[in-house]
Amino acid sequence: MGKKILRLVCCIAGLWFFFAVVTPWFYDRSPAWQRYYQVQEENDLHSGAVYYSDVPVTLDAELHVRESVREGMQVWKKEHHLGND
Amino acid sequence: MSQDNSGIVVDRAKSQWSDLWKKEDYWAIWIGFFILLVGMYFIFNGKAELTAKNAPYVATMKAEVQKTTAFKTIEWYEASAASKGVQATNLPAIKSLLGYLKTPARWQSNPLEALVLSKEEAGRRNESVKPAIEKAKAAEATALQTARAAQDAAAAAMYKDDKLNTAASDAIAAWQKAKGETGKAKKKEVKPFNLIPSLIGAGIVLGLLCTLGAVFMGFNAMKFFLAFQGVFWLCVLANLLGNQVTMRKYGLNAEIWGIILGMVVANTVGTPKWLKYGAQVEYYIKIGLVLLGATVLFHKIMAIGIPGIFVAWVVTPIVLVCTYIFGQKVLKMPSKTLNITISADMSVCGTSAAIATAAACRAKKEELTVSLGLSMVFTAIMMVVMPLVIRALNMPEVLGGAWIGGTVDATGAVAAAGAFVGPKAMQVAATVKMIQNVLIGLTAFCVAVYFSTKVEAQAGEKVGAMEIWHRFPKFVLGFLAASIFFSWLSTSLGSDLARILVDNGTNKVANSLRGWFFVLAFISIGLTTNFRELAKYFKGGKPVILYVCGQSFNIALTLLMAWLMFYKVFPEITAKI
Repeated sequence: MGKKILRLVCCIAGLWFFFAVVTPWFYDRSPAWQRYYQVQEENDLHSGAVYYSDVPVTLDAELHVRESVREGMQVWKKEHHLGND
Repeated sequence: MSQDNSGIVVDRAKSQWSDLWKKEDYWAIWIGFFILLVGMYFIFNGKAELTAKNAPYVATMKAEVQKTTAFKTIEWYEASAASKGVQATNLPAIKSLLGYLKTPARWQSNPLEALVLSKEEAGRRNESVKPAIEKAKAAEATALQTARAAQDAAAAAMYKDDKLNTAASDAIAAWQKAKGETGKAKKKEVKPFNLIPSLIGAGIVLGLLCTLGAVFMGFNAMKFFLAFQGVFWLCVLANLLGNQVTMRKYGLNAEIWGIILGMVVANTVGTPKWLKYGAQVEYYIKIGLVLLGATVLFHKIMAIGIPGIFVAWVVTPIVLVCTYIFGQKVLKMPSKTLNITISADMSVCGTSAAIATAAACRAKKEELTVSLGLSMVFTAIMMVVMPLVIRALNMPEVLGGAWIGGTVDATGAVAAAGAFVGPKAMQVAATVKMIQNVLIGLTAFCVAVYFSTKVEAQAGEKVGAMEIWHRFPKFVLGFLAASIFFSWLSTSLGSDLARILVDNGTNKVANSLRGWFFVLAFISIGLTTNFRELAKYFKGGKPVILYVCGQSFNIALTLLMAWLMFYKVFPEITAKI
């Protein structure tokens, strides 16, 4: 049992070292990563979200894009003489 | 259901009526439908109230559009914002239901902050953000004044002066931007909370629900309920780690932490026997997928018109099928289920597609883990590299957004990578991904049919309709039924009510519970996975080669299709975005 506990402690220490020491080291040296995180914060995004319904910004994006597509298609139909319905 | 749940669940026996209450596929459907019905009952009880509340805003928006089409007026934007605030999630019953399903909040250095926030601490935090809010509010008021003056000038000219119209439109856009800044500042305000009682409540209620099904499937009620509590609290821990600020930076979500935590326990101290009893991977995944079905809304596929259909619904199946064939014929992948799971994960939309496909083809849990691991690593690379490439090539935002939306796996990472490029790119990327997300339903169904009729059949064997039925994973029917019903409901309600009752109603209830069930499934995967078993799947590096080759093809084809559709065939749409 003692060996198992030691393995558990080593595993936790390894995870801690990777996430608390190694990755922050890379993060601090990567302006792209920093900017990427800043953008997530500004837009209230979580890059780990699994589905579109977990990303609140999608609803607004959909409304805006739908409106743009509707307007764009009207222009397209006019230019291609396809009527307007 | 095999009680040790060491691998896949294979329903090879003939179908019987008793399957309806003895098989987990059906119990996933019953539990999923029960949850959706409860949500719908409370939401549709408030339909009249919400409709009445929204009506004046809709009327104002219509009247404002009739006033002028030159630009959208201040009153239109105010009514639109108020209308967006009308949501079924604000109904008291739904609010308290969602309150019980809340996962631990964000935290930085003290994990307790994720569970409890005292009144004093909340007050202290709000005090520190108050100056920023006040400043943003003042800027918004000034911008509104300027916009009002510009709009009045345009109105005085009967909206016939193009110069004045443009000035008004620009001033209103500036006011909207200032309003957005106020909103962002206000989001930093916090309310005191204590999630511990609600988490205990959620654990008990979900435990009872799952135990009910488990008892019919032959489990011991008390043993299962206790084991479920163990898995549930590990799930809380995974959510807690997934919401740690630094982990969010790296895109590590609760699902990934679920696998990591489970595997740490299983491969160090070993999963205790009593806990293993509740680690029922398939059971939780299938319930989660039935709930996911309620958010797979087919009418969404037209959100970005024909260009979106071509980028998301034409390219994706081509890439999926080609990658699968490449895996079988060229790479000679030893497992067809691993091949299709990686192909779907990479071509459709990451985690959710991988889960649905793996369950539909009865992939081994290790195969799902391998697929998710690959996806996570490549998403982390692509979400940073792709925006940099797009910027370096000076690619237009719409093209960049469509490219990101069609290629980056994880849905959250797509929105974030799009935002990195710009606001237009974010909107296009998120919308393209949303359309691709809807493809999950069709993918899962086709994979289930293909594996039932072709893969699981012996060479030369003719498979009859009844045999297909016996082999078909029944939960897929629940998943599709939920999807078709909510798509129909959403369409028949009309866009305004669909937004209020479905997008901001049933979807939110289904989302919260689906999140819990998926993390429960991933914890269970971890708890029953051996590191050594996992390593053999990477032998020869075939899964990595498959992913890299498939994704390279995806990147090239998506870019070509997005360029053709958005810049050659429909440039008028692109100009309006």
